Amino acid sequence: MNVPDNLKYTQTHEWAKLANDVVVIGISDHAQHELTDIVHIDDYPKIGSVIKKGQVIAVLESVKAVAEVFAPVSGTLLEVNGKLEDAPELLNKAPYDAWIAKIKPSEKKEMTGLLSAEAYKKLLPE
Amino acid sequence: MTLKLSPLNDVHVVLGAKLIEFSGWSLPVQYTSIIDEHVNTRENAGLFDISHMGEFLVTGKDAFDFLQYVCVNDVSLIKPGGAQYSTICYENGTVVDDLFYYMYTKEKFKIIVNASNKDKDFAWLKSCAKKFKNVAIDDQSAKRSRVALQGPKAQDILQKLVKPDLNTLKRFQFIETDVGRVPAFIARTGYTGEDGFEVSFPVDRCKEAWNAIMDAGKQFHLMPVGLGARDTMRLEACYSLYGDELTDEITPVEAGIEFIIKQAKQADYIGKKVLVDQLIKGTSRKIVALKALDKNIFRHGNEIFDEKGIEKIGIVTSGTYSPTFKVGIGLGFVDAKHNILNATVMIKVRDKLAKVQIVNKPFYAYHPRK
Repeated sequence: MNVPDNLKYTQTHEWAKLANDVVVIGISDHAQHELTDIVHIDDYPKIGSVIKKGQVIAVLESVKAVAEVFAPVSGTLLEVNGKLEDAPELLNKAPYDAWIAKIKPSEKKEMTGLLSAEAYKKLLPE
Repeated sequence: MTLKLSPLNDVHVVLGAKLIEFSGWSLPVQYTSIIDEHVNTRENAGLFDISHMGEFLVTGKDAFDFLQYVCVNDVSLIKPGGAQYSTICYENGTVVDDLFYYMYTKEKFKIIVNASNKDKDFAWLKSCAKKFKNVAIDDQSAKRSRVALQGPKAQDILQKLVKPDLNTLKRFQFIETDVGRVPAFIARTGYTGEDGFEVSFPVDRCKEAWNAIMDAGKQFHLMPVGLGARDTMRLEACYSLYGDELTDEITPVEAGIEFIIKQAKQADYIGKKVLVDQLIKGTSRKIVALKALDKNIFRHGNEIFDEKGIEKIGIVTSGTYSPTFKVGIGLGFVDAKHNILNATVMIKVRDKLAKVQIVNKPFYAYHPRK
């Protein structure tokens, strides 16, 4: 499984990247592989709403399953990736390009509490 | 519990399949993508490992009478070389299993059953056989392995490997001949809605046969297909799955597969009284085909409500995303008074109500070879 070194990860298989005071969020390669073909993304909170770490920020529907995407950090929801509405398969094809949401973090130190690529790899099956 | 491995397990690992537990077996759910495998099987061809299924041989002078007694369908409607789909039922009409049997002669039948029910079926058939003097049931599951080759190109692929002209092998017929150099049982049956074959081999030759078929299929875009697409394809074709549409609490009439119950069948059989009665009078609930009118995907266990979303009128037995129609589809129980074709119902998906229509079965009609 592809686990880029420049990203942070959660136990629940989201990735996060802090750039210009904004945290970009997606799901890991392992997550998309476990889900199988993703066919629908839904249930975003309203843009501008205040999000708590661990809150559901999207629901992914695959052929086989349903999965929730949890906010890796607290903050304000700035943007969701509109491209995914018509092309949810991008989450399977390029999980690290197909970002799901952007959050302006209220507590930047939450980022340092996330897993490194090395630590995340240890969570994954061989 | 240790999972059973298919004789094709090494092949699946090399192909990079994603393996899951299914009925005590470790089997591929997908190789690359459920949607790609599904679409390719509809357009070209797909090869499925179905080694987990059970295979019995029923022999003896009473074999025909025995099958007539345990199966609801009318075995007298098939001839040697023919196959028939049926259920075996309890006295109250609920389903022990659904299965295919293949008639060699009136004294010899092969039966293919679901993996999850194999041991239960064997015990049930054994106990029913006590009423007959001359019938033997042999569980050959450990000695035999199976693949399904499905899709519009299935015949072209298999024809490269077998001598008999497959044009003469009609749907629901079988032959025994070599596939490449492997002795095989070939039936023109399937679980996808496409033309195709289910082929059984001695377990130690199955890998050789799989590889021969994959090689022959290269020019026809043959792809290996996992259980994920097997499920989406059978749902589009509205074929029942034991555990969802058929259980020991559901009769075949309730399940909407009453075509297997023949009122003209003379022979007595287990469940006859209840089933013929249900056939005539109808049942208080029935499994219907359901199609989403919005983007929601409903799943097994979701509750069905009336159009206003107030009164609970049923439950989803199977639901998925349809790769062919690009929308949520499924099967589910609906109370008789709400079973109205084209009616709108609501299905509770997570905390929302999805708008769904009761539609004609099947979503995808069986496609014979052109």
